[in-house]
Amino acid sequence: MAAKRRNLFLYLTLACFLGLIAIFVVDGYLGVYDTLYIPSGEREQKIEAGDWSQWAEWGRAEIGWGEKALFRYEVDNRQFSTYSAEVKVSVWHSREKVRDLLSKQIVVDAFKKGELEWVVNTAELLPSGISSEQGYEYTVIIDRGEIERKIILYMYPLVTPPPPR
Amino acid sequence: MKLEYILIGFGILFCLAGIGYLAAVYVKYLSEAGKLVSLLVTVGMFTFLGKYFEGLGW
Repeated sequence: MAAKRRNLFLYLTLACFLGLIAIFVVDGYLGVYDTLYIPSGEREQKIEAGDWSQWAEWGRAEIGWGEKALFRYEVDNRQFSTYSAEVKVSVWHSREKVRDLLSKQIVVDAFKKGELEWVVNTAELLPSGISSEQGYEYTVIIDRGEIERKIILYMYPLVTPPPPR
Repeated sequence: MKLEYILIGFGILFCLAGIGYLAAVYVKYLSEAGKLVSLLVTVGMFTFLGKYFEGLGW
């Protein structure tokens, strides 16, 4: 009787362990996850799906005035069905839309990845009254269905060095 | 009997390593409810494991 009772605890332990794995697989792995690659000077910065809720709700891309910023947006569909959504990307400043960058339907098969790319030409964003020797910030908003991601796009000044004497 | 204990020890170590790996990699993808249930299940798991070893006379 005591051995049966002891074994019951062992089976319950195993059941909890399997339950834990099931929770991680179902709740943690399955789903739709997005990763954004943003420029940071000469480097490319990666913002993973798990980062959005932690620090990168306001991720920051940095690029010099006049340069072109390449963004890559990857959607990882970890579901048993095809995922489809409309992705809209726009540039904002002071809560006003400056420009639409992209509006595209993305269709990703089950357990596959889909990728979108777009380029922000900062030369076209230089507002009147601001010189390229001043830094300036815009917000890039990515809408994917009900999900909204925001990135700060900082244009740093490209200061021309004085001519040598 | 000693061999059994060694095997049980290895089993426990593998379980802990597995849970640790899964937790480190995937915990950031869990929803708040998922984290809470995982915590409860983990507490339950160690409680039952403790009860099992208590039954063994440890």
